[in-house]
Amino acid sequence: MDETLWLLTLHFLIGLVLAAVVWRRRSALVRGTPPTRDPHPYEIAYLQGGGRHAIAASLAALRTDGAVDAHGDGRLTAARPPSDAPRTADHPLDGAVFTAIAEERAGTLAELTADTGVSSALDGLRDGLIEQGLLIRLGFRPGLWANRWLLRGWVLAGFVYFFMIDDAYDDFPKALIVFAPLAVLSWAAIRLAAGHGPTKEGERAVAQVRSSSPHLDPAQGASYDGLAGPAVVMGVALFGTAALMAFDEMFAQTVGLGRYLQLTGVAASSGGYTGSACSSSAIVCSSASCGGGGSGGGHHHGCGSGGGHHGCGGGGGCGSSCGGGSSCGSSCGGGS
Amino acid sequence: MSAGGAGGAGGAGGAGSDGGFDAGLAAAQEALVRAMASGGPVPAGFDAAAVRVAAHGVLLKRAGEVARAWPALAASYGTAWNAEFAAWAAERPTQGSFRDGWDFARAHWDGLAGEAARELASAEIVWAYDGASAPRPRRAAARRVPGGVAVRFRGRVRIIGGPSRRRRVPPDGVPRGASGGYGLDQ
Amino acid sequence: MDLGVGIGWRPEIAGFVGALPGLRFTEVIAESVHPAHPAPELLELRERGAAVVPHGVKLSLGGAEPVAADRVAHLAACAEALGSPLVSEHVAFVRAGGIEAGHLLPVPRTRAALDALTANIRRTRAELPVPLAVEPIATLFDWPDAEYTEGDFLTELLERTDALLLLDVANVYANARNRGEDPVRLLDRLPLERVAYCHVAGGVEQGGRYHDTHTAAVPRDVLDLIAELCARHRPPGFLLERDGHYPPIGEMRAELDAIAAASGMAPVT
Repeated sequence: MDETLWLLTLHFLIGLVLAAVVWRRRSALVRGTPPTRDPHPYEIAYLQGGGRHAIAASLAALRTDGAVDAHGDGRLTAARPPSDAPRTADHPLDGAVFTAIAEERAGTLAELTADTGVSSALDGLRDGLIEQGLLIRLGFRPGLWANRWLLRGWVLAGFVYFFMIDDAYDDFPKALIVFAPLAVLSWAAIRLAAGHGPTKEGERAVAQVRSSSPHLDPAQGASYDGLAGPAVVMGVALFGTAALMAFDEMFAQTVGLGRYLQLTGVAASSGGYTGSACSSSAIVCSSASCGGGGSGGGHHHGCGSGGGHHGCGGGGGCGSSCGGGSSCGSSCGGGS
Repeated sequence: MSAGGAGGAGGAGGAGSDGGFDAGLAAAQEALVRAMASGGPVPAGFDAAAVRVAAHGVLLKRAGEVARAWPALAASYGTAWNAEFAAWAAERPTQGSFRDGWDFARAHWDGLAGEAARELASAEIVWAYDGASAPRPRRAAARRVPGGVAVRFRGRVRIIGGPSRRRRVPPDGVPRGASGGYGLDQ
Repeated sequence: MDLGVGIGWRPEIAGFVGALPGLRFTEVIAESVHPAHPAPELLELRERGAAVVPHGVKLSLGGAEPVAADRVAHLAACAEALGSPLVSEHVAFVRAGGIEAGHLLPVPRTRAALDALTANIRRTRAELPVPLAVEPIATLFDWPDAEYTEGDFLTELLERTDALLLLDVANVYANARNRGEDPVRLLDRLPLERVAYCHVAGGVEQGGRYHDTHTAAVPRDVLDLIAELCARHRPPGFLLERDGHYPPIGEMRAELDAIAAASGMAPVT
């Protein structure tokens, strides 16, 4: 028997076995495990839109307690809630969010997201979800990680041997027939490596809560007036921006929560909102001075070279979208 | 020169006017602007104290506008910013907050560190500014910043190296004071 | 035209302004507008049917030199880009001899200044697609040798130019207080039927002088002056100017509600 063909068959069989092992493991992970308890609203939020959605839900909880407020320019500020009032916010994430605001480490959503205390609380939330089998982070599963590298090594070894070392299959059409399965397997290896987000059970858990909470869906005319704190928070976890708008539109818009949630890339009912706190065209627009998601900061759109007579100049900081030659605040402070 | 007299007498005569514009009024206005913006004498007839107060108010307003355009620069001076900027700007009429901040930063270049130096470098690599006329955009440039290099290429600014912007966290990952924070007393 | 209660649009408070359910009127600093790319939040307000008034601060209508053609063109372009019902500027000058004052400075109440203002307002109006309203400023000092009272000066200016009046109630209050006069007396001497809309703002007392800073709450006295004005002739709108030290949203809403209450207009919050 042709030695090369024998080797090739063996190689292909090893590949099949490896792929089957990885596929089984991945399927188990993708399927996940059913939750053994009712998911916390922040877990629902995290499953729907990741850390940002959880932060938004936490802000809603703190807001129902009267523990956060916003200035007109969207800067978050801590407030002392009445000590005898019942508290909705009782999760470690709430503590981290409140502390970051109260200690003035974070005044904007971008700063809140970047805060180390908040991100470690979110890491805890995430790890709990992975533990429960509701969330997949393939890159963090050691067993799968090793298998994936075996699979990659197998593809690489086959490529190196049959292309570089063995010259029995230089004839092109024949090579195509033999190597096509290899290409398919390589593609499968890459597919297997990809993917993170809720497991099937995680998605089912969210869908279950959602279907049992039609009274919280603003699209079905839910009213948030006088709604109890925990229900508000679950509404925000389930329905995102729409719930925030129904609950406290002024707060949500001023802080820029709608745009913030849009950046999660989740279509969690974030329709119709376009507000943003940083519409600036400024080069020096740092995330610290911008309200909205920090990613809106650095660009400048067609604002000329600055220092002309007027219009948008060379960039004047987030606060005033004018700069360069014009100090647009001239009507302020004792004049107009 | 008596500003009031120039404005009044010139206008009554209508001499030297350009479609309703009076040379005496122009001179009187210039004298007032010089007093307000570049440390000139307060023209006769004005309440000098009130003019000085108004001029100082303008300086503080300018300091606030520059602080918005150059947040790291202003932050590096802390509470002294308004006074520092007002002292520097007292005899320098405004060129707009962007250029005012740039001129101030260049004048205090050797004292800048960290974020303020990065902010200046970021501006320097995006705009070509000769200090006398409006900045013009650059195509590509690179500048040293503390501990790294800022590079502009194809319209994007990258800062390579330099101090980490992340805050330091205690080993347990819990920020200072978190235990006393809201909602942890469950 | 009925504008109601409004608030000056600033990029920092775009979210708050956009969330005001009853808002039908706002104002934007014209020099901050890029007519080819107005801020999307402004366009959204416009689409909701709110009037967006470009408010110029650097035209220098009161300067002893012709207004710059490109600045007038910019104001006109802003009005077109925002579909504005009118634009506004100041009865002031901001530069002379090539030096920027960095602020709005008062003009002398003389014939020469009136001539210069008249010429500049006429030039400006000729290029604008919409009416122009001019706003008397707050000032900590006056020019010597005035030939007119403030009321007569403004009345003659409006008669000569056919411009509208943007009456800043807080400026009227600040000037009267710093001059030791009664603000109501000025209201009685102005052509109130020519008021296009009014500004309202807060300020601070410092060193015995009242500074119209736009960074503090509107004082009770200014709210009372709104009521006095409306008792004589109610203008089409009142616009709150706030330029920093933004308070919590509850306080900002309360400010707008207080203006609505004082003027007898519908609340917008």
